[in-house]
Amino acid sequence: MELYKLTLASILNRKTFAIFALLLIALPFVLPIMTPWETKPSLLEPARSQAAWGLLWVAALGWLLFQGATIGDRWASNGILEYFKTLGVSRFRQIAEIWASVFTIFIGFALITFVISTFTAMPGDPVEARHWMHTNLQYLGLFLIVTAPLLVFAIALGTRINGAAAYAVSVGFALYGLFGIGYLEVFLADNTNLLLNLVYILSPHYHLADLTSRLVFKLGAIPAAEVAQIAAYLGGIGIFLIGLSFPLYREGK
Amino acid sequence: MKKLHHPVTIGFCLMIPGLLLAAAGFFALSSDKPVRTDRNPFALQKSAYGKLLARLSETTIDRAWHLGVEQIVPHIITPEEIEDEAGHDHDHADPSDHAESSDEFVYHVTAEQIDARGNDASQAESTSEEDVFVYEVGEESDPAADHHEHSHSGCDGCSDCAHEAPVARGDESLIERSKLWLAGKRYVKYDRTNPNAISGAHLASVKKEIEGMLLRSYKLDPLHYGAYDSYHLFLTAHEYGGTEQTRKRARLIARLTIQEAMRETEDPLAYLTGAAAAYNLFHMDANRHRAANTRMTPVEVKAHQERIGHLLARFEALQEEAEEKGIWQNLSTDRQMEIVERYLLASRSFEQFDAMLARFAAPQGTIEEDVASMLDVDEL
Repeated sequence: MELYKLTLASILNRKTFAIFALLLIALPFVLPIMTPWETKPSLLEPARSQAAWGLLWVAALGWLLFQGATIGDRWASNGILEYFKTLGVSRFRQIAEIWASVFTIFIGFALITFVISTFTAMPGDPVEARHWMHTNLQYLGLFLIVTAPLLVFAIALGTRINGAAAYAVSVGFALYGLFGIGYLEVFLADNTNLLLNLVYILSPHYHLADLTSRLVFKLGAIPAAEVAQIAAYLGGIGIFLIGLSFPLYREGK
Repeated sequence: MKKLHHPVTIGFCLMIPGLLLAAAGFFALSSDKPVRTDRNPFALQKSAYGKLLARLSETTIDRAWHLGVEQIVPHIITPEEIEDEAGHDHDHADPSDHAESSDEFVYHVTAEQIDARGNDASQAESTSEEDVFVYEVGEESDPAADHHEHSHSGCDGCSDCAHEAPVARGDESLIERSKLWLAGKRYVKYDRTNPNAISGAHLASVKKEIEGMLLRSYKLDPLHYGAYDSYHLFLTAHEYGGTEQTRKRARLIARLTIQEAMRETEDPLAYLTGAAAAYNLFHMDANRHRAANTRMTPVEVKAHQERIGHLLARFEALQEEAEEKGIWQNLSTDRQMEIVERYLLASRSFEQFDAMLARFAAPQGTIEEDVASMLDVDEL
């Protein structure tokens, strides 16, 4: 657990997490007021939930992956990982401890968002409220299934290449999954070309984990079977990324 | 044994089951319908933030319009300028200054009309016979008579009414003077000193670009009056690249807007936009009849009347409800007045429907008899 403690102490000492935590708490209450809600006050609550989740995605893409990539780079460059290797800490354990330290703080972020989204924007209707709760839980689950393996990937890549490059690659991969596929859909999916279709199928469809529209437009929770399929798909991509991270990870640069 | 702990071995042991699991999930998901993105990441479109962005983009469209289509530099309008604009043939701040009657009016909403001040009701006079979007149903009836003329399209690149860069008068505070200085520099940055006009191709590309911006705004908030109406204009008016094909799209967009408005249960403004869309459908039908040299049947007119009537009635009901709940007071007095004016314009036009239907019901006399009855004389 020494590597876990060391990494966590390092993150806490740098304090950038505090800025994100503050924004995650404050902005969901500030941003909705900036919208033209005057003639439709019922816009405010969904807007709060939308802001909370949007900011959490920003924190995931801007803070989480950056921390993973730079810590991987820093620890590998400074010889810390080689030191732990000489102590007999296995590669698996090293990755797990670094991952756990960054994710400890990030879980706090996710909980802030979950609480704000669930309890400060809950619909009055009891049936809608139940759906709201379920949707938020589903969202949290899928979000973590996407972000947790991406962090492993960013850490492993950071130990292999420069931190900035590792961040660019991991965040690029996440952005491609969230937005890029949507743009390329017409080109990749709406044809009969085997190669293009394969690229489409093999692309990480992270947009499936974005349930914001279900919250904003109160579409209700996704049926359990569908959620299981989405979770299996995103989980599979996650296991693949963790698998890819093992050969990428190295203790010394 | 050692080989089993090799990172590549572990990697493959994870990657292969991972891929299989992902494939199983993907094919299970796509068994009912193909997996497609909803093209609305983080639910931006139609959300509160979409509404905000649609409003914010008005300034950008405004600027693109002025720079690209009119070839003039947008500038800050100070109250003094408005007072001094006697010689200026279009007053940005007061749409009533554009009021002028004409036999044929083109339903025209410039980017200026969707600017932040919300002057989204002014109209433009046609400069070309090819402007298809002309309102005319029956010679006598013209609900568009309340519409105003907006003479941008007739002022030939505004060369004769060049906008001046804002200049400080000397008695402003330091902050005001600094703001004016910055505004002036922005003016200089975009001022066109090339004596030649921009090429036709360039102009066309600017118009397309503006259309793209308008579409984006419309998608962000389909119930925003300016966003919908200006997009409709670009799809229908010939001078902005409107074709038969795009006019068909405009019809669809109008129906979608009405549908979207009908779902609204709280915001009265949605129904004013819906009513504007319903009027647009009516205008388009009228134009179609005009092109085919036929007249609208009473049944068709009645259908339009009912739809517009329903939308306006919903506006009234929701507006009343908003007043009772105290929501209406959230709006500034200026904004309230602007909305009420827009509503009055729509309801005055609506009243013409009854007159139009009455004419259908009345026995068709000769022109001489009609004129005689108009003049209250027995015989001509």
